[in-house]
Amino acid sequence: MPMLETHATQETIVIAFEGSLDTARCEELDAEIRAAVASPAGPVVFDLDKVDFIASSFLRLCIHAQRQAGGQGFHVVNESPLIKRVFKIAGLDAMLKA
Amino acid sequence: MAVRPSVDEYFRRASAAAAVFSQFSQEQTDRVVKAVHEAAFAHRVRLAKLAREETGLGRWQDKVIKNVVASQFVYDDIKDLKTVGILSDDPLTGIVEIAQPVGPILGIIPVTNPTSTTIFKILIALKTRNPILISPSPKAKRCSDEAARICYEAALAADAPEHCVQWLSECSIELTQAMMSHESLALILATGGAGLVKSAYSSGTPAIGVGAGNVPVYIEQSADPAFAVEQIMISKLFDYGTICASEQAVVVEKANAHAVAEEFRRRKAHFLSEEEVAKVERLVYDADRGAKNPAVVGQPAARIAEMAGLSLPDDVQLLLAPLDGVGPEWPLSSEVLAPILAWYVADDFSSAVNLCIDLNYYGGTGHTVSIFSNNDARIKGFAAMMNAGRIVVNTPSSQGAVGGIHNMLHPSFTLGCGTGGRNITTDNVTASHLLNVQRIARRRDNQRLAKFNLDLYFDESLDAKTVAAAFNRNF
Repeated sequence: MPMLETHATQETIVIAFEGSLDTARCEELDAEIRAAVASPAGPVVFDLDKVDFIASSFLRLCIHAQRQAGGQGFHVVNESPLIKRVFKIAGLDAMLKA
Repeated sequence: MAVRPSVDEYFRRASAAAAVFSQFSQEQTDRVVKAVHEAAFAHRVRLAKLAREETGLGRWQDKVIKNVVASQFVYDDIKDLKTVGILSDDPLTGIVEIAQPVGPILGIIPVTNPTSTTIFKILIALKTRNPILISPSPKAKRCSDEAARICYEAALAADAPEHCVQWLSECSIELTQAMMSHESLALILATGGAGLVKSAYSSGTPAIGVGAGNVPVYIEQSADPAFAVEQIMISKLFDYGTICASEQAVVVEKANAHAVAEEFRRRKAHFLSEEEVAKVERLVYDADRGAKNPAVVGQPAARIAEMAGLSLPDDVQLLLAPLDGVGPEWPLSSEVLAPILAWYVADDFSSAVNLCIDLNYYGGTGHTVSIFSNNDARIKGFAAMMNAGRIVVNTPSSQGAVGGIHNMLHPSFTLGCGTGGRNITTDNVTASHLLNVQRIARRRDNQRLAKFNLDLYFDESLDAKTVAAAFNRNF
């Protein structure tokens, strides 16, 4: 069962995802993610270290989180090459931490 | 009223779909393709009737067959193709081929085969993990949109990426051109008229286009007249001649002209008199506008006879126009997508082939030519003189060129015409054209070079033959 773990380091919100983030899983997590990134005091980070698949709805969640974070910053970290390529093809590679 | 997505929005969605698709395994991909094929096949009759009703062209029964070819036959042809991951790994050459999708595809749909072309393009795009945007003909928008919707819903139900299939909400030249030249578009599949294909090739985006046909069918002396005529009529009456690969002119020899003509007459084809030819010419070609009359496209022969003011039996099947030449002076020597055939009698094989060259080069270069013959040397001799991607033998040309029915050509609704038709390929376009194939090239040293004295290259006195002898010396 994919897990969602949220922790805050100083003011950074880090959300670690796991498993296959398909459409159904994203629907289940949607409310929780939106609540977690609502009006953040600092940067928001999505850790995709243990993720092996992402659907379009996850990309939309990333876009939403980026908007919410605004000037605080939003990044995706620890993505595998397969997932990195998804962000590249979708034109969202600016979200990936350099 | 729904707001039309912006061009950028269409491509934002397509890019996201391409991104998600890039993660799909062969098994996941094939599950999507199977589901789409089954859904399209299930709706084959309804979509055919919708296409007939909306376009007013052809026969719904024949459009059912087109939908069957587009779904069942195309699926059968592509279902076992490897289109994901490693395609081949040769330990001898050290080369590994890997399949990658090309990216978002714009599929342009003609009015003549709207639902079948939509189904076909969606299947080959999804098989290769490419999202597709369907650009329908304005005269076939409803039926094309419906075909796309059916395919898309089936794809989604099989867990395909969201927006893997989109269809443009309006038909306009401005929108189509904006879509064609968008930086996020990977490829245009341009099935349409010359203007559209030229526009596609000029857009800056890679394109695969098609050309016009002007198919001569040569009934060579060794052919069986009854069989040849039966097959030609099956082809020419199919959807009332709306397939671009249908025959446009019959060329016979003096030796078999009478026998062939009798076979046509037996099957209720009518040979036009000189006066009747003139009337049909005036109907088909508007000399003032310098353009063909679209009202004859896909109409039955009896209707055309009525429109031309001819008094013919109601059950006339086909009109044959005896002509003396090929070119602008003889409007019926060019492509007419209707049950009208030009008729030529040649002296012999050589003059028959010459006539076919004239017809082939008069608006049909690169497309298709047809021959009925049991003489293999003559078939090859004829083929060698033609500029055609398809030389169909002893088959109805419409079905023959489409492929998969009477021959082993890949079934396709996008028939490449090569450079003759200002296209990039002569192939029947299929899934394999929608992949970027990458190659890993492992080190495999050229052993002759490894043993060769390189200093010999710097000796200007040595010619190619001398160096080659040294290079190829087998120690």
